[in-house]
Amino acid sequence: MINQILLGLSTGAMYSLVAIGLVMMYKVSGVMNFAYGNMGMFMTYVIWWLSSSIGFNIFVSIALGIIFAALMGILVERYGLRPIRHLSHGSMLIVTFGILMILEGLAVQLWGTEYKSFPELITGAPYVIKGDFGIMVIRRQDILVFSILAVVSIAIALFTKFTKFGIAVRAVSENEEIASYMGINVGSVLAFSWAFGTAMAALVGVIAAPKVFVSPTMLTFYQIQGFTAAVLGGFETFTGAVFGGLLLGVIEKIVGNYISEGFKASISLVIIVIVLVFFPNGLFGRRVRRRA
Amino acid sequence: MLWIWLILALLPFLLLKSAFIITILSLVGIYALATLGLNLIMGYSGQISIGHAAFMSIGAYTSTLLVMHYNIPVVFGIILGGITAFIFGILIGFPALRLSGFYLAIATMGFVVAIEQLFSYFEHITGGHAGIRNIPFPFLWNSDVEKYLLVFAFLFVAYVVADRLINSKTGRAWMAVRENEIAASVMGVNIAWYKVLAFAIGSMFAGIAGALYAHVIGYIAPSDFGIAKSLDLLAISVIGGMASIDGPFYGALIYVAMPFLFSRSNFSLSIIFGALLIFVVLFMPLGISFYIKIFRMNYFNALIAYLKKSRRPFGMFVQTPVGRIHYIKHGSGNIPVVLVHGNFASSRFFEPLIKKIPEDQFTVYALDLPNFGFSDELPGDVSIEKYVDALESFVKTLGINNFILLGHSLGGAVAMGYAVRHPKNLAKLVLVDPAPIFGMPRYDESAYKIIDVYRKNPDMIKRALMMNAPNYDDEKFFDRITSDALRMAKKAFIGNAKSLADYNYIDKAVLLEVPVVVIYGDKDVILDYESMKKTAEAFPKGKLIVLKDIGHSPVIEAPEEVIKHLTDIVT
Repeated sequence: MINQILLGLSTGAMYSLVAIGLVMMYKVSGVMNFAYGNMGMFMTYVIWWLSSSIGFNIFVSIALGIIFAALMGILVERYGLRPIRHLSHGSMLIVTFGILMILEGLAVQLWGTEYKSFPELITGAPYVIKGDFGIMVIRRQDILVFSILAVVSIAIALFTKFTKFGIAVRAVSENEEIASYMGINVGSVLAFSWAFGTAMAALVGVIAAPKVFVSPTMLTFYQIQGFTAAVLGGFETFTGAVFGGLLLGVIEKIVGNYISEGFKASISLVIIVIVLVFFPNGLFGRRVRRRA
Repeated sequence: MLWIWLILALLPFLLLKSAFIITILSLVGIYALATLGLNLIMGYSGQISIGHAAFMSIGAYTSTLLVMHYNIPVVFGIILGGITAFIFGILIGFPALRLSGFYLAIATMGFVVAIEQLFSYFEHITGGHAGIRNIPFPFLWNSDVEKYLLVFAFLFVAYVVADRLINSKTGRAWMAVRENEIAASVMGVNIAWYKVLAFAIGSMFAGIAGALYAHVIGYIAPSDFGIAKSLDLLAISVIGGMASIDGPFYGALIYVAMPFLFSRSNFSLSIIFGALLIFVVLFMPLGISFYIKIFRMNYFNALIAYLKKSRRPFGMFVQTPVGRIHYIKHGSGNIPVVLVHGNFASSRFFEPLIKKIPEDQFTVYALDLPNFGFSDELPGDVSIEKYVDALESFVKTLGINNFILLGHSLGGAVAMGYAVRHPKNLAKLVLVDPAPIFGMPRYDESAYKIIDVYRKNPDMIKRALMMNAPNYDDEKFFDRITSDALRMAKKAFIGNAKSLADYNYIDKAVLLEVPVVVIYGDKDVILDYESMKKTAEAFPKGKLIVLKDIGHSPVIEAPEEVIKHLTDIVT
């Protein structure tokens, strides 16, 4: 049981990372990025290509890939979304669907549909801890995921609390117009949020790739689970995103174990529906009163 | 637009030799039907759904399983598929109501993935990933044509239903909710009810489309209706035009035809379609159907206008100093009556009145003003004074004296102009919903430009005329008037409207000793009671008569009433 939970937490940590990126984009720019998974997928392909075809070291490729991802996020926001910010959020959403389709087509066009294997970043025997509770097995990959999640969460917390730009990010997510009156460069904050979000997507792609292989639909399911995690967390806070993801991972693991793997997506749908109906602000959200 | 449907219905019989094209067209119809549903959800009620293919899936599997296992006729299977999708639409629509924004998009995305996964999972019922093959379609004579006609029949019904819904209270409520939920709820719109209704009906269309897909293609698998298909449907909707009911047809045509256009280049369709989607959102947010509509209004309908223009004069001509004037004469009585029509009309406009008028009592002259009908065009700018000149020469040439002058709308202004010039020659002045005595207000230049659209759109003229005569339903009559209206001089379309702001007879009217009757229908949408009252009071012997529940055109809506007021003082 404890190992199941641990495995669940490890998958959940991935969902948390997805959710953090989604929430960052949503909080600042007000767009739910449905192309998120495919942006990560595309960048994972790029990283795979850099390391296997060009022959860069895998870590250099990852670093380059994440930089490219950030650039892509900036470009998409600047030229795809900002021109229609004044129109409606609906049309921005539709643009992200368009990007989703293009990236998927592009990946198929460039690299074909067969699955590509991706090297594990950390290998080695798992740690085994024995105690009163039984045997606990921790894989090294799990430790990697947990530490990345921890680093990212703490970095975001410190960044948004103590740096000037981080405070600007918070200000823009509260109220774009007033933030701009206060002398904040809203454009650069928007660009940052997308750069950050897309970089997170690439990171998630890299971590997930050894398990799910590099393929055009590799992150679709992660994206849905990321949404579910964000909904659980209320879509407004990073804390919510982190804990929502972890919780979802555990629930999914338990359900998969005791009922069936075939119900995974249905479970997230049920969770979304239940949360939306009974906890409209998420499990960790606070009630926000706004003038309409 | 019935003729387009007629062509579509007959199309397969022209293509009997090429079954392939018929199947392609059936597919276009299926996607158009599904997207029509999506347009109700997204375009009209403003909810973004990316799980539309899931409802197609539900409809397809419901119908297929019922037809294959229980031998239900295909048509009933399809209808039941639609109903099942309708129920699921309600189930998914409800929770998403709780929050606005993107939550519906998320829930529907989860839904489409869940449905795909579930249908793959229940292998013993649905055949799992491999899907179901050889779905039967019992046909009588030619399976492709029959399949097409089946799709066509469902599409037609769905189109009519959607059209009726959109142009009713429901459609207006949807659009109100789409534009501003709070404002809509303040106006008494039950937001939850209308949103779920849109969602359920849209889902039902998708369910029917999915069932048709199953029977037309004969093979379904869960992955046929995945998130990719949902996004394709969304793209069809956006590219065609979200808030339109003909947009889905263009979008579906592009979607189905595109693989053939790019079949040689080996280029991924997803890229092209995605790029097209973004292009449309950024640069033509109203979709293709909007541009097609503009094209139709500016060019295609002009052709119809040319064809519909009336060509055979139905009256007599008289040569006057201002040109040839076309008129009709009726009756042999000793009281002469001259009838002057309004804007977008002709002497024919008085037909219903002339039919009712006592022949032995009156002699009626109804003329086409110059620039109208079969009369000659006047040189230079349009003005009311020029029309008065024309009326003057008409009356002088025919030698009509001591007559009753009746003017309707714009003709009312002309009649007033004549009356203040020649008060001695009149027995009585009857003004039926006339342009006010002090003229119409002058509008912004851009407002007049819109009027020019009428010149090329007979249908709009007809509808405008009918709207101004709510109690008269003879469509053939309005067709004839519209044909005459299309004969108006080019400059008169805008010129008439402008000229109505350029006169004021209020000072001269004081001197008019003739009895004046102003008849006003209280359902008039152009004129208001106040200005009619002022018009009547401007004349020393003016009298205002208000007809209850009559629109702008009492001469055709209530001819007896008008005739009564022609006679009451004279006799």
